[in-house]
Amino acid sequence: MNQSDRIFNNIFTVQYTIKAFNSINPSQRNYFTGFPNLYNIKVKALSVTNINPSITNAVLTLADRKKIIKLTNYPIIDLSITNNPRLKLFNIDGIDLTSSYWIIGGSGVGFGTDTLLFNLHFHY
Amino acid sequence: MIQPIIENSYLVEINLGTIAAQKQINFNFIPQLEGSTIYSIQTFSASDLAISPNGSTVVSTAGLAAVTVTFTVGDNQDIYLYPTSDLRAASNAGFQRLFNNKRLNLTKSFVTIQTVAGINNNESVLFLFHYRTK
Repeated sequence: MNQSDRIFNNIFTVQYTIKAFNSINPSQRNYFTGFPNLYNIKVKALSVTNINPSITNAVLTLADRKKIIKLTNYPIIDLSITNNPRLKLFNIDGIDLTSSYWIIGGSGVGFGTDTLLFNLHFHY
Repeated sequence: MIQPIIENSYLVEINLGTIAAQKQINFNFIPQLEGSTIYSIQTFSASDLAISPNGSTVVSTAGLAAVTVTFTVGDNQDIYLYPTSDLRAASNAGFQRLFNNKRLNLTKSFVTIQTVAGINNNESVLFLFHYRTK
């Protein structure tokens, strides 16, 4: 498991806009939608950027195309390069983003409209 | 320095309940981790994840320093009274602690409250297990 020889073929940023505070439902599953070119990808690394500092309640669940959960309630803050200087490496095949979702618990979202960016490093 | 490549991960929560020094709280049975091989473990404080997925307040970074964890393999306490704060990557320049492919007996594993300083009743300690399936 040597990360020094990893070469990323594709880096795709999935942008998600988190709506205003009063339209966020805590514990609601927010599924990824609208990325047909990201079906059945092999995720090799994952990071988040432009994360609102108050979004410390968000967790991510990734499922593959067989609906098997690979990451269960993964704290999104751990993927932030700002918070955690080392890029998180993954080896997850067959990811289906439409079966994957993130959840904000409690009231951790700031006011106004925030944008959450997931940076997927992947192969097909 | 090698960092683990994550294949599967599962976030497990232990609620401390009414806190008292030397109180031990066992992990619950987690079907997804039964028979799995665990190779890395992380913890998080309220600075990382303020509210757990179950809605509980997560211990503070100082609170992690009040708790140790013991992991059992079979009947052997392989990891004994490990300071939980050492598993928080954000406190360790982002490094995750690696373990030698342990098939943990979670229900015989437990956290121990060493001191009540820095923690409050009904706060939770979070463990993120990185694992390979059987």
